[in-house]
Amino acid sequence: MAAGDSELVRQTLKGDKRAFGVLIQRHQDAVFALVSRLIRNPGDVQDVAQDAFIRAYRALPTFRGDAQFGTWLYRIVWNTCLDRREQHARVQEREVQIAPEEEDCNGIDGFADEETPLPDAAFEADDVRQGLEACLSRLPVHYRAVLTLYYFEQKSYEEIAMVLDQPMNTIKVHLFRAKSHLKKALLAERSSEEWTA
Amino acid sequence: MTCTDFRLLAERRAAGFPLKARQEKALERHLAECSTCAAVARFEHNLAAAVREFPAVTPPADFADMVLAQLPDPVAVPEPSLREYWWNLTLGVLAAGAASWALWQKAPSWIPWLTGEKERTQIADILFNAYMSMGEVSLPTMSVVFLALIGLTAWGASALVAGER
Repeated sequence: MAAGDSELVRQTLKGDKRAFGVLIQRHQDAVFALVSRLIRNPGDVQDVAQDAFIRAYRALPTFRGDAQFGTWLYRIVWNTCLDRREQHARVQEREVQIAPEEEDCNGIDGFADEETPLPDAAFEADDVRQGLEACLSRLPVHYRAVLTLYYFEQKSYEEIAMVLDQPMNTIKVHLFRAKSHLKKALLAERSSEEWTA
Repeated sequence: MTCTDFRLLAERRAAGFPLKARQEKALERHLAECSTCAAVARFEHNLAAAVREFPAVTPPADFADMVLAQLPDPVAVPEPSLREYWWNLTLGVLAAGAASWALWQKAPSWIPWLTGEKERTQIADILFNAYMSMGEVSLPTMSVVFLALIGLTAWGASALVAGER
């Protein structure tokens, strides 16, 4: 039977680097998938993933096993991505402008807010997926992170809060707003297509 | 269930979280009746698919080796010092002793098994019998000695585990 992540961490801490190699192989696909969705330049993805694993190795003695190793690792990946973004801060990014975030997040629960405008019939079409992909890449990084962790990594609100080091209500708000922005962006894109057609 | 509940279920289903058969059935029934929620569910489905199918870089075959080659020397786990063990042990015993003494003196009403003769549980009886058999030694003293023994055992065990590492 394959050793669990905790056992591999224990072996690594005893000085067995190969055990960490197994951990890398086990999590590298998920880390690359996450970084690819957070970093806009595909050329940077491998660098960031590599950096994140090296940071994780250095921080391994602080891993207490309270959370799953994957969740703990994602937090390091997230921080590595943020650091990389700061390094590239001078590069102008075409991010969607977002209103200042409200601290009071009560009453917002995912997509379920009654105030949310309901989707237009246009959002039902299958070809909407391509448009969504394009809009996703233009979303601010926090929103992309929440969407990726929820829809791709299937992390719960609680786990996402742990990874991104933010309150759970903020995560719900980010998810809600990310969807609202995607809908708006899609609408804008469709209007522009109709205009230019 | 309201439309809000069904939309949350649709969101969870689109994200890949399994629903109970009962929830799945109710959701399907509702989506067949409510076109607005059906549109939300469709959007959720498309969004989840777009996130999953977002083009991602795949790691090269030798990625793990590349990382391993860059790792520093094995990470050192800081071993707790003997002094630290004794300090923690002393604090633990003092705290446990004080807590036992306070409990015995006050026997607060929210601990039913310490409040009356009839309500004493087996644990309380054991402590009481031990106290009777020890004659002159007071219960607080006995509790401290008892807890000190537990503490010493725990310390010995942790020292053994640390030795293994």
